[in-house]
Amino acid sequence: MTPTVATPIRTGPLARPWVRFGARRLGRLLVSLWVLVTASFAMIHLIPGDPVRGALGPTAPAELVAARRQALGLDDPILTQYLHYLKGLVTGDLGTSLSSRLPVSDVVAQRLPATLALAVLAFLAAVVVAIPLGVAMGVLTRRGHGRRTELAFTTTSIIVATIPDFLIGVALVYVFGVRLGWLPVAGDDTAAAYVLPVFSLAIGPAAILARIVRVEMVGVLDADFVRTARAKRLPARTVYLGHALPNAVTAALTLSGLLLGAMVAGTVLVENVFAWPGLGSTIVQSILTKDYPVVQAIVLVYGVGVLVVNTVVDVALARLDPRSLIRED
Amino acid sequence: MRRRWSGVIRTPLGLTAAVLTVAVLALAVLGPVLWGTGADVIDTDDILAQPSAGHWAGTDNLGRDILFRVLVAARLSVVLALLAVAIAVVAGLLLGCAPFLAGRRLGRLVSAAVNIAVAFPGLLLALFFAVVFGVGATGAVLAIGLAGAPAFARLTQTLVAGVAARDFVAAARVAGVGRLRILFRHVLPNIAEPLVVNATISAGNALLSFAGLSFLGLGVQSPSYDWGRLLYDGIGAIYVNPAAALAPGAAVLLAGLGFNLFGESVAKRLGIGTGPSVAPMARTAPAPEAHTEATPTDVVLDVRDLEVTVPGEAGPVRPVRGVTFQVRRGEAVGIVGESGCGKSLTALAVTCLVGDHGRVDATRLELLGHDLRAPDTAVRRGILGTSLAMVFQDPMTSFNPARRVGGQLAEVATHHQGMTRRAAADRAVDRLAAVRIPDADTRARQYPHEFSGGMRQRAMIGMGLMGTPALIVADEPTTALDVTVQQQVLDLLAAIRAADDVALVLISHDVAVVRDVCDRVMVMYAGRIVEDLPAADLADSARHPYTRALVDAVPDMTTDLSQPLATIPGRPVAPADVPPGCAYAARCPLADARCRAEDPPLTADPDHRVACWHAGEPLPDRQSADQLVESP
Amino acid sequence: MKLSTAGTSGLCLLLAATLTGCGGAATSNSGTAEVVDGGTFTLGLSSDPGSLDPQMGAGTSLFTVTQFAYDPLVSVDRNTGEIQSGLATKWEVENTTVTLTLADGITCADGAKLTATDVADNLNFVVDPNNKSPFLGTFIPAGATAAADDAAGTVTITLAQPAPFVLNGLASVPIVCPSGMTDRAKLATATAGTGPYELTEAAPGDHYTYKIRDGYTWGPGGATSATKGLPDTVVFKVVANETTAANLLLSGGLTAAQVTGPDATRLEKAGLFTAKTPVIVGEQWYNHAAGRVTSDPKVRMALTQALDLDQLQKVLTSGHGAAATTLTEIEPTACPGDSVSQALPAHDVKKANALLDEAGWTARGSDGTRTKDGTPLALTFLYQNNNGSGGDAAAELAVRQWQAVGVHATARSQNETTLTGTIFGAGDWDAAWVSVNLNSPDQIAPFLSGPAAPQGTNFAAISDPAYDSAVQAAMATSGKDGCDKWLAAESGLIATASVVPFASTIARTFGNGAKFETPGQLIPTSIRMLAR
Repeated sequence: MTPTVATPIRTGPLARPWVRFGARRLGRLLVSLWVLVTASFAMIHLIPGDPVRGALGPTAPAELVAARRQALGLDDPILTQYLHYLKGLVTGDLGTSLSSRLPVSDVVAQRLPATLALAVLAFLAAVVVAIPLGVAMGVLTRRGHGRRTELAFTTTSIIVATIPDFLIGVALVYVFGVRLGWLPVAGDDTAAAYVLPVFSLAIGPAAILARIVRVEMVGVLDADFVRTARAKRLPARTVYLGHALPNAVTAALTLSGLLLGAMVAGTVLVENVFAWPGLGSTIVQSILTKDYPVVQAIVLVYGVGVLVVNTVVDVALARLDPRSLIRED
Repeated sequence: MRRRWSGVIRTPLGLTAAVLTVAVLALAVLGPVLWGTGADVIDTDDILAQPSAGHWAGTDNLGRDILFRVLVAARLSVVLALLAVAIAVVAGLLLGCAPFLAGRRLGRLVSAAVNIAVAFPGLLLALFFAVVFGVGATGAVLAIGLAGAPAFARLTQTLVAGVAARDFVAAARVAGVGRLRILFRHVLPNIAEPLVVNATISAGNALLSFAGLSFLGLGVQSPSYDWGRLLYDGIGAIYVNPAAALAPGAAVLLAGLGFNLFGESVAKRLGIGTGPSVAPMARTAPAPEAHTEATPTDVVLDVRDLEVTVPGEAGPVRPVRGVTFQVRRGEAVGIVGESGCGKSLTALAVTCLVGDHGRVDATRLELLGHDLRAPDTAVRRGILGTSLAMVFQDPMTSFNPARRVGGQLAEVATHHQGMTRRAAADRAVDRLAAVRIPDADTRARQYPHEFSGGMRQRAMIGMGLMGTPALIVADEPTTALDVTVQQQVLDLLAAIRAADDVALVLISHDVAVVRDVCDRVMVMYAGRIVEDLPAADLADSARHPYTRALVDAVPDMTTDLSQPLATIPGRPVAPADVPPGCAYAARCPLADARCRAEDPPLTADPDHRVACWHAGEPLPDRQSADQLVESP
Repeated sequence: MKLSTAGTSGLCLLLAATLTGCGGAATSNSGTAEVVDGGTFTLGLSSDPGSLDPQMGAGTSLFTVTQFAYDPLVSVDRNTGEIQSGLATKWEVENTTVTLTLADGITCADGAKLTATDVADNLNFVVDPNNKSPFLGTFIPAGATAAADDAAGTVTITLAQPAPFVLNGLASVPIVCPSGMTDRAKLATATAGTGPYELTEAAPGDHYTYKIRDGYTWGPGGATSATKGLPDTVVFKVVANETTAANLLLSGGLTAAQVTGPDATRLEKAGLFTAKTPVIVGEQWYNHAAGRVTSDPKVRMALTQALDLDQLQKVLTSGHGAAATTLTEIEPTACPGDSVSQALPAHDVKKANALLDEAGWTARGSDGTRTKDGTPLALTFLYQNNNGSGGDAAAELAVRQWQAVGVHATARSQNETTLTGTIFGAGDWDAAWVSVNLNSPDQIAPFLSGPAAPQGTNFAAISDPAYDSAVQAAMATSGKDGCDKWLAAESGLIATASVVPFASTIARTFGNGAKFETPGQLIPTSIRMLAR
């Protein structure tokens, strides 16, 4: 018998729990951004030994290494380099690519839309497929029902989720692009070109999401408040969609945030399969050629993307589950 | 614990996964031994050949057999993956235990850092570390290992916090036991299981991550080769010799699947544990019995021979074994008994809320003349929704946390009473006011977590009052509340009854409450009604030994304080272990051989029913304290 | 006289299979398809050209795109080796004086006329060592000066010493228009040339769009932009992955692309048009500099004989290649012939072991590696990473074969920039697979003699007096008459295992919906769009 106290009714601007929540969340975002920026800066300096020597190989002559070090400004004191880096970020100067001599910001700006389009479309596709599927499965396999359905569904979704997206991509290219010739197989601007890459990227996360939604749904359907809803003799549809679903979706939403982040990473692999002109193919090449400024910038972009997504997810979660508004974290 | 782990193998999924995992591990050990030399044979005249009898998966750029290379590569792939997982777990453990060990400020810092790191997907972190540690096997192991650490750190943190919050840890801290000691002796053993399960799943993921990194060219470099590197080589030739990529791809897939599925199976078995279940028994609509006696028109609830069957460990059990009673308009009936006697299930059964939890059978089950055994229809839903109000035990969880209270009340009106949303909302506010919730208007727009327990319970009652209920069924409505709040809720119920002549079925284990509120009291034991008497007669005229024991057990202002508190020796019988005779015989001072052999029927006197061979006989003196020790 | 800077800007001409000369009739499998005018020709590039300045980079993709927007002074006929017209219609070489007469009415993409002074400025720009053009010394001899007579429309080049193939070299020097000469920085992202096409849209890293220029009449051998079959638009699409390029070719996403790996078989089977050109892909160099284990000629010979070069060639080219013929076999070849097969040291493991014993590497370490005075016989072996799995496999095989004679080699796969940075900067290496692909033997002489890196481009520090004097004699003879002497000089180097060319392959450019010619580079005016 734990005594509970009713929340007193506040007044004033800070009364809106949204404002307090928003302020807290914004603070957290800023801190995370700062950590990301510092990590991206530190990346080069964390490299054991001399990063330039590492890039040019142990076989490179000493003068070349020295010249490159100077070009990268690595001989200045760390703090100077850091401030210079920060200043560059603010003014939009992300440095110059070591291999193509183009400004990094141009490279990023030119390749970002392609990756963004791919990730967003894949995410939407995954959510649009997974949530209804998960809900339907949850209802079908609620307590005591559909053991075999549950087994089949869980096994299938685990298998689908385990197959790496790039393997799926290659198989799709072979079947649909070359064999059947129905769909284009490499980076393009036509709508049809999006189909295969989006599918490769979305299918794994969709399977995971559907599984989670199902599990959550089954759990929620057992909850007391669902019993209350049944006691109110509401029609089944209202019980499932109006009461169970919003609570089941909370966990799924958190997961979707994670999945979108994972999808952003997945673009790295899928882009390489489909020659998609995005950040993913660029970062791999840059890592292989040790083009540090480009790698730094893309890591930054990806990181910011993930942080923004998480913030959006938190806000959406708060909308759905108001308890998180006042929860201390 | 071992029994639970071995139970994993019994499920087909677990078995398959275990077989796969063992096969992969065996391959890792034996592969190079058996096929090491075969994998090394160079034949430059047979470069990039298609699959043939001599080379089942074709050959690579040096004419080496691809299948042999795949089999031999198992060792490096598995070893690297396990190494990466080990790094992830160790680093994660260190980071996750830090908040517990290091005190508040440092702990919060580490915690915040982990939270930030966990937000980033593993591949990105791996790429980050790949830049730092360089391309190649060592770099990749470190990269994937450290990339997996934040997730483990977060998991460890949560688990540690969960265990650390438990009372025994607090007790140890108070006793002065050092934190490190507590960590090792108490915390870690308790969190080992989930960590191991997650590590197993992680191994699968690490394998796949390695494949990904090597596919990009950032992982293992030649002349070493793991599955990922073979994929990298094979992908280039996939259209010429698909087997060059399919073979390592299949290997990666099967190994990753094996680890993942194994981990999942274990998690399932240890965690959620669906356990044995009973297939939902088909609801055969029993033939409606002809009424042998005319039902008086003021009977609100008519129950005859109610039985509830639920699945049990060793087969179905019957927690409710034949309950018969009637509730008249305006009457308050209490049902008392110890935990497990079936009173809650009875309440759920008579209100058709047992659902998938079990099967309900009855000779007669009618609410206001409507047969509740018949299949569900919209009409019946409407009747139940407006004529019947339910109040459940735990107000904390009975409301939907994601929706506003007002809306949850208004739902009843929009679905069953045909009101518009505006009208329903107004009625909701009105009802909240009726149950004496101040500022009803504002409160209706709030969420359940902003209500106190008592307020929630009252809101629950208000929800039931959206219609015009003829019957309120309240299952332990005040158990979870403070004593002062209890009285408020009970007063409210009384007021409602008085105002609208509403019948009440009040289930409680608290005899005192039932005595005060109800007109009649039914005492249940082991799924049966053992006595049914007016509440006023409880103190002096109870005839069943159990009833009397219950009454005696409740101290009041006249209790002799020098005597030990009265208790009922023994424990209530579990539904699965109901003996053939009287279920109370084992604890009854009056029990004899007949009691143990024959189950006494409930007498038919409508005013005072009792089921006992020795009803009304005087009890022996109160037991001395020594004899209150329970016998096994 | 090479300058270090010239080297380090990456004479990537060397590096690997690109469209470098190799004429030969292009086999056309789409035989009877009808030629149509206009349309879009999409060519796949394996890497981004980077800065588009035609005289300041030597990347393979840059060479490809430069052909479309810029013209050289002359061109070379792929079959006969004869010099043909380019921007110049008349030319004369006399000892150290080269006189070229420009065609009339040459216009730049921006409308300006190209004058002789403009051309002279171009040549002087390249020759000026301060500008660090990688063409200096390779395509224009160092020390040359250019003067112009606008009235007569002639350019006179005065050489420091006679250069037998100076015109062949000029065929590889694109001429930049005055607007580009004055604003050099602009050339990184835009074109300012006289070529048949001009850059209209650039998306670095993704694609570049070029549009045809009407009124172009000074193409190689007099080709014009009015010819039927030329595409209106040319799009260069960066497709790094060869398999993807092959897929795109088959599906029609690309009109042409060069595919060298296993996917080429697929494309051949599909019956696509193929344009072929030979190119050296396997060429082994040793670091002759003092202090390295490979400075000992016995060691070099032993290392060469320990390898089964034939087998290496098969693996490197995945069975599609052949032995090399000369050191400069890309088209248009100045001196065709065979300087390799007779001179190449034979595979003889016994002799290799004997030579190493003679050289003093007699003691054996615990893993079988030879040692001398406590130092193990260890090699740092570099190779470029652009030959795919075939390259990795061949390197692995070489390491194995060296291990069999007690040499411990560590193979490192490096990208173009890193590799050239090392060899031209006198870095730490002993053996390297570097494919130096050039058209004429005098272009390769600075790599085989003269000042070592970093002062010059003789990155292997080769110092062979026999070769030096043979070159002297050949330089005195003009043009093709000296070819015999040049080839003999090369054979001398190969016979002493100073440089070991062991693999050559046919670089194939496939076409779907067009046919074209690729003597070294894809010639824009040779494209004929075909009806689909």
